[in-house]
Amino acid sequence: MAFNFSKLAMQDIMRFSPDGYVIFDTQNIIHYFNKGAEEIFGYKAEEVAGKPIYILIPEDLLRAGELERLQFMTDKYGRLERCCVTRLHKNGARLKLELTRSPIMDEKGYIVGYEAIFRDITKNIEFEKELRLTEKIGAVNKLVNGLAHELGTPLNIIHGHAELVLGDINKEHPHHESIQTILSACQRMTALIKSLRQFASQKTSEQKPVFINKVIEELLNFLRIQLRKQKIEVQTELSKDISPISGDKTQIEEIFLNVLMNSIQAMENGGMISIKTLPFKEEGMEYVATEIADNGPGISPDTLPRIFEPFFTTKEVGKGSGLGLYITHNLVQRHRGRISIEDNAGSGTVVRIHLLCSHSKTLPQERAFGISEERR
Amino acid sequence: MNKDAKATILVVEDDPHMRHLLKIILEKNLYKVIEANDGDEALACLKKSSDIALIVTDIKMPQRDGMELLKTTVEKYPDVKVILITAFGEMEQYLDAMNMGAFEYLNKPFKNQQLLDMVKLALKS
Repeated sequence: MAFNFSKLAMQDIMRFSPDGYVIFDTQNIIHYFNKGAEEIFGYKAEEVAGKPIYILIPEDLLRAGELERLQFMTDKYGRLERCCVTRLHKNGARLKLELTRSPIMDEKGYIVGYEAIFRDITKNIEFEKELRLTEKIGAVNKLVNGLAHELGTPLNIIHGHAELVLGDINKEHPHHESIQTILSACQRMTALIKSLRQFASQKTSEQKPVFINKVIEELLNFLRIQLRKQKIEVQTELSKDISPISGDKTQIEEIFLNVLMNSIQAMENGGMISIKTLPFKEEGMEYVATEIADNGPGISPDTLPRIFEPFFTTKEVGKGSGLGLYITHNLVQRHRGRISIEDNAGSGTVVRIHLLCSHSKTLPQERAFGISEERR
Repeated sequence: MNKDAKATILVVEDDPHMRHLLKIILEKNLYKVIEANDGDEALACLKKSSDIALIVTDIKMPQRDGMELLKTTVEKYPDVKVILITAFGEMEQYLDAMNMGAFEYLNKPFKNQQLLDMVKLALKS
């Protein structure tokens, strides 16, 4: 008798298919569990053989009649094709499967059991969700930016005119207080819009090589007028031996800008900021270490532990949103780095930021310097 | 009031209230102000009066925008300084503007004094 190649081929397809293949009888006892099913569910075939298929179904769904529902549908339509179901991995995780279920009949046409072929689509669904979320974030971002842009001009008109009026009247004038209230309301609105924009700009972003020294030089150029005006001297010691880091340039700028703005705001009567960059190696990973120190009033020891908390601020009401350092901290973490803030031996503050260099890497916002600054 | 005063400044802004504010702030500090509604009008003003020392311009405008005006000014009137104004601008746009030769870039909303400080610096340099 000729060898039955086609039967062997069928067996091998079932055994080695990356798709899961399970056979169970009318009592729901598992009789066959292929390699694909092992990989999807995390069980070995011998672990589940002879056990009921309940072990593969989340309890809440079982109680809700999931199995009866599928049974009913299969019997009614003869076959259930590519429906999406939730199942349980050995480790307790919920899986999304695309499942086809058909009855197995004996020679007389009686149903003796069922076969189910399925594939794991959990990742596809998560990917889709992520994609949808990214789109949503993009839309919110667009809306907030548009809004901020449209509000900027009228806000400026109100503030500017209020300032002009205030300049022409003395403190005894009956409207002096009203004008000041208008000004402080404008400042609160400005801070609010800025915070909104910072939140909106926290999107997933493109990763490219970023040169920290260049970022710092550009920021100092950007801030030069404010620095000069406040008589703040800046000393830099930027190492030529540091490698680029991998990240989103706008977010990296945001990190350093927030830190620099805090120093600048802390030194209204002049002072000094020193900025150092140097290469730093730890556990085989290469980082760029940046140290930004100022000789401002420093941070009190009871404030220090709360400094990265959202909505924590030591600024006057309406002047700070308390989000500056919180956002900075998040951005640093997103770039698999770390940030620490210390009191500079009683004479100012030192901020240390470590960011991972691009060749050590595996992983994958807003500037407005208007009326008031919301950063701490 | 202001010893640098009397310099002529071209204010380019399509929002009439904002343009008016800029005019008052500058005139109060004894600068001479010429107004333009957009980039095209601004170029016509530059052609007409040779005493314009500084342009204070919005970026987003119909017709020719602030960035285009900056480009043309740098090419044709290299002695005229340009301060760009924008509402909640982006770092990238700031860097583009600075690389194209802008003197400074000011974000709305700003304090009147911020504008005056910047104007003073621009005229001094």
